[in-house]
Amino acid sequence: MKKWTVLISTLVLGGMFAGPALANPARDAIIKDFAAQAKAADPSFSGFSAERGKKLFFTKYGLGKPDTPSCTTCHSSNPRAMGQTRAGKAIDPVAVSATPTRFTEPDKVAKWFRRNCKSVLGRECTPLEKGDYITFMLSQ
Amino acid sequence: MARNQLSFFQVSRTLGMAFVLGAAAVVFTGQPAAAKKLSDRKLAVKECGACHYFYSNRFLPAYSWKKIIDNLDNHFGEDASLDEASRKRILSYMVGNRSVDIPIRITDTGWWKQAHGTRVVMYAKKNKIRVSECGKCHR
Repeated sequence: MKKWTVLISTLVLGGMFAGPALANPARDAIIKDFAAQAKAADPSFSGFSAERGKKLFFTKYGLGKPDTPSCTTCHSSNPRAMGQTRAGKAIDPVAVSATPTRFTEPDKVAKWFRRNCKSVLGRECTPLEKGDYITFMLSQ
Repeated sequence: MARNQLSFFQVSRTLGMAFVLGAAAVVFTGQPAAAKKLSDRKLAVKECGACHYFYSNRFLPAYSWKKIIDNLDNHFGEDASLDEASRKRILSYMVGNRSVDIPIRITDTGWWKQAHGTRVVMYAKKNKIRVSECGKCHR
């Protein structure tokens, strides 16, 4: 009897704390890793910010390739909407609520941050920027 | 104009290779585990097809694919760089065993065929003029 109570309450409480799309061990590990890197780069690091991630997503930098001044060039200005590559292929929404598999494959995350940060910012993104970006997409 | 930037991007890619990247501490040259399970063709379809229609390797001569795949850092204005192992496998698939398809006969080239067309070729044949004898018509 007691076992069942513990099991059920664990499931109920677990369900309350973990949002429907947000709980994913692989993604949590990726974020944790960026956090460790951000901390190593700056000891005063105190967590990622969805607000900074939002700014990163919407800012028109124009520092990378001329055709891609900002993230929104391809991802559209609504993270929950479909995007489009410059060659015309559809891109699944970046928001985790719309595409639950986002940011769950380390190789994929590394590849696309490398490419797209260079295309938009003309350089690789810092671990802080990557963590902020994912945090913003988790809030969407 | 983008063509002039190729050497710059090649240099930056070479530098980029030196860095250890990201969450999984994947070295840029390391091949992701997911790629290892795929055949060369399937890997090409997956990577090229991530951004655009997968164009058959027959659509361009082998040397064109080599030029494209050697310059993925500036791929028609986009950074489409890949880890070196995947890049080499895709290059090998796209070039295949067609590395000999570089034209060595002038009359096999696209520009020659376009400039002369079938009518000129038929005319030459009818009048027993070899197309290699440019001076028979061009003075």
